[in-house]
Amino acid sequence: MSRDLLRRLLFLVVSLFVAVIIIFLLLRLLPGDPANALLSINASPEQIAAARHQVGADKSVMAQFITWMSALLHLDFGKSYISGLSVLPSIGSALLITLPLTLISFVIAAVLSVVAGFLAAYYARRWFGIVLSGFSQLGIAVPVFWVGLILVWIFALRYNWFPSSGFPENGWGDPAGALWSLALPITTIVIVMSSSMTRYVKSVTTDVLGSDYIRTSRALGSSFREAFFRHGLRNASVPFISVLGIELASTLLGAVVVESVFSLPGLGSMLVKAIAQHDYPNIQGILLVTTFLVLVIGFIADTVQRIIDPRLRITSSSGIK
Amino acid sequence: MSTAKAARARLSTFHGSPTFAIGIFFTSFIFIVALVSLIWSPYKLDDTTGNRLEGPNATHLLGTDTLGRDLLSQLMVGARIAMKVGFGATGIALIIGCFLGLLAAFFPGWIDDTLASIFDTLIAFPTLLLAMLIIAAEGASLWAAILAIGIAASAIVSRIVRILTKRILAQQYVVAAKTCGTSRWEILRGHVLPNLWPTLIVNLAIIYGVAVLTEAGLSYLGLGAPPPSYSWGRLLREAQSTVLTAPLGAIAPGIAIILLVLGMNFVADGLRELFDPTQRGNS
Repeated sequence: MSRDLLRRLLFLVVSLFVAVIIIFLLLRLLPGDPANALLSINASPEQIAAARHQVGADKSVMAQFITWMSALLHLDFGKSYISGLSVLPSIGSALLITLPLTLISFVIAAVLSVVAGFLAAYYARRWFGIVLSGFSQLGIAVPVFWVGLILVWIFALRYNWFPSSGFPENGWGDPAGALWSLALPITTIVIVMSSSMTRYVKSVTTDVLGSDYIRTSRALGSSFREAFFRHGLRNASVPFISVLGIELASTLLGAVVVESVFSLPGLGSMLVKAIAQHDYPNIQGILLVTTFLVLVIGFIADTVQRIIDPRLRITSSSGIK
Repeated sequence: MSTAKAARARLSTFHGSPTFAIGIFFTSFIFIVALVSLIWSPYKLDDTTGNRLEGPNATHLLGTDTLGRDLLSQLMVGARIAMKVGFGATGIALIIGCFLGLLAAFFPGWIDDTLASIFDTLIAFPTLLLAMLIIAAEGASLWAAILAIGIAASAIVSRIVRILTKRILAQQYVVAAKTCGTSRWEILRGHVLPNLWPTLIVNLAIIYGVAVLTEAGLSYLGLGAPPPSYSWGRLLREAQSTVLTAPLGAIAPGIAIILLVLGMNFVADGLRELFDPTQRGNS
């Protein structure tokens, strides 16, 4: 177990390193000159040279990478070209909105979908189950920002029950106000994410309900509840947890989009603005932090799966899954 | 040949399935609208003679936008963009995914190990994040969006192709064929591809829907094609500020996206049932 954990920790570090290199190369080689973002179109050659020197673009790619990498290891993500603010603290304060939004939505959606998915599978042939499946089908075909837009239209603009956009001036210093302004964004994400998770729960539950071990257990005289909770739950939870990991990452990205609908000053709004302004230090920083989060989420999901299912602990990565 | 014939035979037994029929109905409706927009739309897109933010009426069936342009005409042109995105991104994902997936499956050892771990890592990343990374580097345009979505989705195709191909190559009849001296190319054509395409086509239909959704998201965020563009996502972005006075501008493009994506998902479910009878009634 511990050797396996070590192996996957190593894999996590390698993936992160590869991601760092890819992000660096994509942003450094493709867009031409990062200095462009600093200057207006009709800058003089001297100004361009000065700007290139300022951002270090006049050195070789390798030298740039080493400087950047060693700064990264000291948690120095550089300063925004536009605002001049350090990247990491800005990301930190943006995460104060994005993380609660993601986690609250995710927990609600996960709980909802476990219940709905189970019912949809259990009552698959009744109208109740069919309606639940129908809703989840619809939910995965709907753009998340459109749900937000419609909710804003009805509940914020027409009836004024919730704020249509923004976050309280003093942030979480005003917890009620903060939660109030997150209510519609959370609802938006929950609607969309619970739909796709419900589908997974339903298909996993359907597999379990039709499995041999449940039938055998029932034939040996245990009640459905006994059979399901003793044997079904653990078997169903293994594939579900790997899906949970991917869905948590999707929820994070959903939050990124939804923030733009509600003009919340979170990571998503920051990224969209940074891309529009060619603010490379901010883009790099946000992509790195997001990548880090996605990889860590995957790692945790993997580890939890192995704790639940001993069979997974011995398989090697080259085997066919 | 026999696979195709069997599929056709099953298709006729399948005619009563509402899922597949509804899926085909929705998608072909959008497809036909896109085709019609090539030769005719109610108004020219630069025709601003309508009143600003008109509601639906006899001259403008879905009303007009803030510049007095006809919404229906914009939606029709938007269908064309959605088609480009769907087919473009799916095509890119198919080509890259098949190449890398087959490469990994046919060359076990370090090539396979490396590619497999790359696919696994990439799969964990939401399509939108990868697309944003590529667009951050490339700049926002429709083709950058299509390319980005296609590349992101190719990881999914690669993984499916790799796993399925490995499974097929391990079958006894393939091992037997290999022993008889059948070339790799012959095995690929005769055994792998015919067994691969049913699963592949189901997943391509799903990827099509994801691609349309992702492009709409990018355009909504202002990271898709720059204006003037009539992508449904951009129409929604522009309609947001006037949703109270002209709600139809915000509703109609959303419905169009849902029709196409839901339709494609239904087609995928229908095809899955069609190819795999054990899946029937399980969608």
